[in-house]
Amino acid sequence: MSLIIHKISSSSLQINYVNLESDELFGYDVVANYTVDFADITYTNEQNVLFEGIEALRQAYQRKNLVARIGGDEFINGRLTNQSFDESVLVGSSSCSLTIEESKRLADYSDEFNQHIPSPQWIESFSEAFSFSRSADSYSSSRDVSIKYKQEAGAQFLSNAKLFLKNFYFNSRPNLGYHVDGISENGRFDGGFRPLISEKIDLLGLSVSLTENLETAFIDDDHSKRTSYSIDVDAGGYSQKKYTVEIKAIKEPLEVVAWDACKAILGGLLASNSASFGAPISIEKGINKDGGEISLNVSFSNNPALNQANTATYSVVKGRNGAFYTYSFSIEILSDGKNQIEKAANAKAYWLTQLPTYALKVQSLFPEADPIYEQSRSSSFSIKDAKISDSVVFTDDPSYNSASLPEGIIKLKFKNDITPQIDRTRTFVDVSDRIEKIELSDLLTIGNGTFTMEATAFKSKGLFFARDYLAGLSFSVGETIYRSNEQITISDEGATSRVIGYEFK
Amino acid sequence: MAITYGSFEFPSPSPIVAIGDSPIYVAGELDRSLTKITLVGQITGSNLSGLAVKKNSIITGLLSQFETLDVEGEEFLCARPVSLSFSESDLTTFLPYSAEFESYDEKSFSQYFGVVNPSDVWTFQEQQNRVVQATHTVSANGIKTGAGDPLVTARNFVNGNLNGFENLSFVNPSGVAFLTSKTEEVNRFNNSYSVTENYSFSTSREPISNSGLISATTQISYTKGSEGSININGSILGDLTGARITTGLFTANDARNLAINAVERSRSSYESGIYGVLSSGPSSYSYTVKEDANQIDFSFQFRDPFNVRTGDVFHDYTVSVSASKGNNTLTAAIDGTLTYDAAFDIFTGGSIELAPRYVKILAEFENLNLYALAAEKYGEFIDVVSGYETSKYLNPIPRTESVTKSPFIPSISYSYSYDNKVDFSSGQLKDLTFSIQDTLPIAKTEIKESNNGFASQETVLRTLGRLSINASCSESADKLPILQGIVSGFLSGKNCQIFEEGLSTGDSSISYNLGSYY
Repeated sequence: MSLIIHKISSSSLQINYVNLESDELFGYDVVANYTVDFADITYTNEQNVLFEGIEALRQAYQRKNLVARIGGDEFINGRLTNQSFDESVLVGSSSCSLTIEESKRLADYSDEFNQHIPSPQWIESFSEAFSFSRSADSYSSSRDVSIKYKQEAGAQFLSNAKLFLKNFYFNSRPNLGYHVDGISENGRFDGGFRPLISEKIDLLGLSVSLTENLETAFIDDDHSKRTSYSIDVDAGGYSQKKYTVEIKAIKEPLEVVAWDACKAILGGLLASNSASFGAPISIEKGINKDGGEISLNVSFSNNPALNQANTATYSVVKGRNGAFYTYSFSIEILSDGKNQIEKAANAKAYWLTQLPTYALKVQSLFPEADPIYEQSRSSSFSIKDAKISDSVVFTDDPSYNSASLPEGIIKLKFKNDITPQIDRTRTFVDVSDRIEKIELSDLLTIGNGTFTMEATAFKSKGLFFARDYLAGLSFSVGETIYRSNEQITISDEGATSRVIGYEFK
Repeated sequence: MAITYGSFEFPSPSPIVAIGDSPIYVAGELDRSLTKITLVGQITGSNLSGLAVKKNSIITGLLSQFETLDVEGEEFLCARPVSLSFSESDLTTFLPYSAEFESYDEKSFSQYFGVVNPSDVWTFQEQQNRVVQATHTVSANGIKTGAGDPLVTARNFVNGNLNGFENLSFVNPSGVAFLTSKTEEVNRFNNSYSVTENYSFSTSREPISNSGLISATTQISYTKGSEGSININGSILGDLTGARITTGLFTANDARNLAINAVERSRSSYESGIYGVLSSGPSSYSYTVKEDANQIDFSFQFRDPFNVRTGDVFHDYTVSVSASKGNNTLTAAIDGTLTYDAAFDIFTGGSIELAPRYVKILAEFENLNLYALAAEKYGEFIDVVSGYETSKYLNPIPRTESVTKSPFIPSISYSYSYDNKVDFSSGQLKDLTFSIQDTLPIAKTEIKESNNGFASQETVLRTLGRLSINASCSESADKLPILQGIVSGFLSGKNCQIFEEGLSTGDSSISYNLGSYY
């Protein structure tokens, strides 16, 4: 399968060294020009058929690659780039011009790039470029590698390119980038980061280019984070600090790195803010299924109603009921917990610690409320919110001072309505002048009154416990009295009253 | 030697011929050559008109394109005249001329014959979410090399190289790709044809399905004092021309698994104390099916996802215990709502009362022991709040009750209240209330005003006692004997004489009163 030409009219040989705009030598190109005479050309094809003359040239030209020995020159994988026959009537033509090119490798390669590239002599162009950019809180680095093979590289170029990338691109991670600015020095190419890679494979143009791009904010080992926060003061005068953190994993496994970073960053925010703000009041996380990006929003507040694991928020309303003042105390208790069961248990435990403090809380807001006595109470247990709400009415009415009452009696109230004695009077019409007149006396009228006792007892003491208690009570109005009637009324709701009508003189 | 171009034969004497070959390499291999044929000759004659006739015949003969140039039996197919020039002469006896032709020479191994500038380029671009966008662009310009239309040749070349997705990526060599868009560009003037196909494939380490490209974002929200929430939004992308994707590629169970994964793997130690494991499935969801685009957008919402549930029904309730020293009746009220809290049991028609979600809610409601729930909290209240009662007794007969069934929502809400009143009817009468009025027997002293002051005298040693009992309940008249029995019971053991009795029966209540002396 060789083209053999012995008779050469003229020849020239040019050797071009291939540096590809660098100091490295990738190979050299041989460009040979020949003017040959047909008479002495032979070519043997795959079937060992011998051709001579112009037919030999034509047969040789029907092959993809040329193996030739022309004069003393040998071509193993030559490319016949030009073939021209002199002007003639063809029949009589006897010579033609040939241009053959072949790229040849060096005996040895030991430089930075070419030692990793299979068949470096077939490289038509090669480039590698790095760029680094830092602005504000952003940093980016990129690496572009482009390799283009000469046409003679053939179908092998793809496997060659893949081999090159394995040997060079992924293994050669230089510590480039010279800036030191807080991010750049942490984002060098040898950091083992996971950039986004773009590949371009030109199957017919025999080129492959890879671009890797790493975009980060501040780098913390295996992840980058972009943190911002705002401080707001609400209408209540409480400060709220809201963090927004964009977390991006930059090392594999991205998802695990991002999750772990999210935990660590949240922990850091808690540690740095707990002294001023306590526990966070909200946490939001947006997690991409793949790819290791998490947006984390954490809000803190110094509002004590929000920022504790257990919170009790309360208010007191002071009102007046007759001669007495009432203090309506409302409190809501919430606790953290994994679920409503745990929240409810924690809230209950905290509730127990708060119960004895209700009167003190009232008195801290209304110092004049001393002493006060509990009058009524309502407790609500919300299962969904695991919240306990108490409403307690305190009063300074001593009737509710159950501490002074016997066991089982929870309320005892006395009331005395008196019609006092006064001078007796009588009106009459004087017949002498027919004018109504008053007759005065230094004697007194009969006084009377109604003494009412109201009591409430534990329901469990029985229907008549309060009655029996009231019946045993004596009372004094400061006079000698004569009972006119006595009545006890029992309501099944629990109130018992004893009403004594009396007269005195 | 005869040289012809189509039907035109160059005049005698035949021109001499120069041939030059420029090889054309495509994809690293010699594909064909471009042959340039130069004819150099002279027109001979005896006068101007004779030369002119022959010159015009050559010009006319070369006006057609893509004819066969035959040089002494060697044919150059689809040759195209590039130039024709006539040189200086005496215009009488000779006229030199030169004609240049081009012709593509097809080899036995030619793969790209008929097109120029062929291009077959793949790009693979990684996205942040482990999705790779692949683009395949194939283009060519058709050239006239035969009888066929060059545009058709270009199109055949392009289509011949569009063989679906071929993963040539060095970085991400595996993944099921989905065709997402196609672009076709045609230029009839230069016979260019280009097709760009865009594919996407996932390199997810935890793929949900290989039948569609699934992307999703999980949003976890915790706000103190409020229920947590989880939302999942995403899409399923199918092949533009392939099998239709279905909602089954991302189900409520997939959403739940995804949410659990996101919650647990991102959970910090602090969060372990403020919300627990995700115990429920999504409470609602939506799919937007874009049939023509073969894309489905989805959205799943998890309501209060960290609370403990049993089954698919969520029971929210509040127990309120009230006590007042004004009376000794403590009440425990329970108000609640049962709603469906899962993504299953979809209504498929029929009676709304038999809708699967409502049926489950109803079954759950019927299994509830509201009294036990109220009594539990009542007991806790009694345990820690002193001054109102020490007994945990709570009358199991509800004092008030109301139930609202809303099958369309669906939900059932209720409000019950219980109290600690002793039930003197032992459960036989509803809303039994009574009052006892006891006018005690006393010794009476009459006081009269007199002229010298007052005159008093004990006139009655003991008045009659009067015991009056009024009772009522929410029952019909047939329960009157029971009510009478209870009222009479208060007189037992006393030596009484009835002096008045009254009863009333109405639509919804009865009352009975008894007065007696003793």
